[in-house]
Amino acid sequence: MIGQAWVKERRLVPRWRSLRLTSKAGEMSSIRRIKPALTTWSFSADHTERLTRWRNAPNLISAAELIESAIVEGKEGTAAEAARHIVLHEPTAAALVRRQARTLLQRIGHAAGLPEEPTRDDFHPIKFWRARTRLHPHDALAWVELSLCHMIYGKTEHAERDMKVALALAPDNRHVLRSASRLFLHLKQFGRAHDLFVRSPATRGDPWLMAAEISISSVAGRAPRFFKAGRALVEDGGLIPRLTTELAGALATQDLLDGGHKRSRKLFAVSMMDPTGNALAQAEWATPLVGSSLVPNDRFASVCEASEARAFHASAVEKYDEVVPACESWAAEEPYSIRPYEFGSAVASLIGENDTALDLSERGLKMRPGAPRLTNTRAFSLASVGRPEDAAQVLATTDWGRADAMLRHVAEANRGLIAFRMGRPDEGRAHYREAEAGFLKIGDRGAAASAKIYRAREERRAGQDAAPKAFEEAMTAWKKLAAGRSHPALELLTAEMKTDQPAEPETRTWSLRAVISHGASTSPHRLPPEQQGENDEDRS
Amino acid sequence: MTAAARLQGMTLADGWRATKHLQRNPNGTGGTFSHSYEASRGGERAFVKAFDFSEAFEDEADTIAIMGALTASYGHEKAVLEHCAGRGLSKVVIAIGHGHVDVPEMGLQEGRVYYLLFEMADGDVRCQIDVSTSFDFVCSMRALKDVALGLWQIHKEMIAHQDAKPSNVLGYGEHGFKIADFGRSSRKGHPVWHDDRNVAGDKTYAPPELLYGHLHPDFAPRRMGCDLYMLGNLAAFLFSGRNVTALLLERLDRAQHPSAWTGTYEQVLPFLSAAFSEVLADLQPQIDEAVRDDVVALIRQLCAPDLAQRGHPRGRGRSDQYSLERYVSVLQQAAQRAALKARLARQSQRAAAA
Repeated sequence: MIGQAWVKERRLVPRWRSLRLTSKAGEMSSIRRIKPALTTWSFSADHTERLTRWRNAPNLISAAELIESAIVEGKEGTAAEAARHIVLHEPTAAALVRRQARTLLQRIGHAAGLPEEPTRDDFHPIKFWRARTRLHPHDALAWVELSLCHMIYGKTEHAERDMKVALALAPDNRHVLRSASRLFLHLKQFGRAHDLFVRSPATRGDPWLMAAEISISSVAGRAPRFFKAGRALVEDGGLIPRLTTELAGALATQDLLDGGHKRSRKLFAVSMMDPTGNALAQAEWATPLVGSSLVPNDRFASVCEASEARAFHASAVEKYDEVVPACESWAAEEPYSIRPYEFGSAVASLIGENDTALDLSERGLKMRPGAPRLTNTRAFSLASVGRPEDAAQVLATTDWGRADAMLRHVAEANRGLIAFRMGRPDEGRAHYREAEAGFLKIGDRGAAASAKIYRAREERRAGQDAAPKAFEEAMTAWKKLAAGRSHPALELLTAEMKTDQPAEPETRTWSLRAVISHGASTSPHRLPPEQQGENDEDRS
Repeated sequence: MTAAARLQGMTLADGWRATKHLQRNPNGTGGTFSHSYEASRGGERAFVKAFDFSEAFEDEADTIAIMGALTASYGHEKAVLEHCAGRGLSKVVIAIGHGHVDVPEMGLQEGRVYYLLFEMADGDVRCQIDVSTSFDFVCSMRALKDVALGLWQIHKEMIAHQDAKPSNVLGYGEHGFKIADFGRSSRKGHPVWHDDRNVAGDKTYAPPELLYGHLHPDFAPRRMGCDLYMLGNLAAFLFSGRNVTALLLERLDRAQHPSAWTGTYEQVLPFLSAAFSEVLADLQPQIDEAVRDDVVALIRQLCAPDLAQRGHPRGRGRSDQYSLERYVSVLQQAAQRAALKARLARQSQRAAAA
């Protein structure tokens, strides 16, 4: 069997991706009020004069000067004609002059029809950012990028070292603090992650940092310091909606987990006014808990980095063929996170697309070797495609002693599956029974029923006499729990028992939501950090 | 047409005659202009900067205020040039004359034009934008060394130029390069009205701290720090045809552009530093290998967006942090090394050909 792919308690912890993507998501702007302050920025006489010169005498120098001036003035549109002139008609312009002209046209959306530029194919992110930090060691954000690259490549110690340098150089920068907190969460240094925001003077008055502080405080098992201040900032309503989307989402989540559903709904509505992809995913996660849709439908298409939300939404509305592509985009948006691989491979595995499940789990495990959820999914898929020996090997790569109880029991169930597939039914049965007992011990009756279903399936597949009894047990356990919901493996098994023939894969048109989102549909409860999964630092 | 735009063909002081109208230039006074002319006297040539006071006489203009600003501007530049004259400032373009001329058929008030006369240069360094006309690295290093010396010479007189852009770096043949146009300069102890502006010189070439309104209260960090940045900026320009300020700002997210940023300079600094790394990485391959390390180090030190990091590493945190003395010496050596490398390369090429 596979573990729950839907995290029980998603927190609105910051996303960690490249500075470019973070800026593109609008997370790096200054704190602006809806009613802007009077600005002292004015259009200079120098720029006006350059425009006149370009119009009177269009040549390389007047064009190049106008472009620079337009960039500095923030009036790039005024130099579009000059930039086009350089790109198309000035072959002797210096390389950077040409590149600047081209970039200007791209930034203002006038690049259509320009000749293609050669692209580099020897780009290696770690080498690139290491060279950048050598060239300019005071660039804190380059150290953050290097840290991210090291994380993606699984070099945690290097990543931590790089982040320390970044924190020393820019201890109050929003991007540095939010990225560092995500790294420390991964390192299971929850208190250290929280301290970043508590100690930084920048948190006071910065909604992005407040949102992170509130979300991470509960992961660290602490009371949030900026809950009241954050609420006041959101209720004030003076800031532009994009600035408060994550803060409102973090407050809404906190209220939701404290049982304040009505207040939570209101705050999620504020959060959805101009959401980031992260805030959108949070609202999508909270939707089944609140009991009504929190996400306006148009947001899935209009918000950038909405792939996580789209993946969960597709799963929720049972459009499973859309889940894996959404997870692929999600992985590109959050290159550091293994959750897209976890969710994508779990769904693929459940709908019988084992090759996809194997591909996704392999990519995730490359980033985070031994990650328990991915290991379980991979082992399940390998055993399912008739490679139980490989499945056993994969299962042995994880230190299960450090994994949370739920995932340990899933691994035990998978040992049962592997033993059955290797022709050792007694051993398989014992493993399954141990897993079932384990699930019941931690109060997860749904998982225990699932394990019974898979045991019954394997008993039947192995032609064991115990199969009918196991089927009855599984049926009873699931019926007690599921209130009319279906279970894919149980449906398949029922069909097989009726016809006494193996069911075709096409008959697997199950409602997977029962399995995938089971955790989310139960009442929220808090898990202490030590009980969270290997990668639960991602969200919960 | 204003009086200052009608000097062509007129006789100026000391027998000089304005022969060719070159262009109109914005003044540091915002919205007011000067006109430049070529002038000749016998076989000699000169450059004329004529101040256009017409703005003061336009309808609804505050004539007294504008006249005050314009005359102060003219007076300031004349005073700075007079102060520099006779002090042996070899790399500074000093005025060779000044005066006023009355344009015929215009009233005495609006027809009177004040001007400054300078030695005519061969040209400026904007030819670097075009690879078919640009200098080689030896000449670029020489220009850089000369401008560093020129700025250091005026800094010793407690004058900050604040507008050391490519069009103000003039070439004088075998006499090398000089820094020109003190219209936007500041002189310690002699306040001028443009001192109150965030950016006294041309915004396009200004250091980022001034664009974001981060104004240091002391003369040296604010004004000499600005000149240091502009020297680094010029280094970038001489080897790539582009200036650091525009390269920096084009790499920022729109929300971080000075026109959109509402936070403090400290808050935007990490983003500027990140953009600066990119700029350095992009400039590196544009610079001839023979001088690359010297020039990149120079740009990194002089254009550091963090004012506290700007200047020679040995001077940081000291009273002489914004002194150009070390750079004059560093650049003299670097220029000599560059010339030597070029000579050796030519010799080895000749030997190979033989």
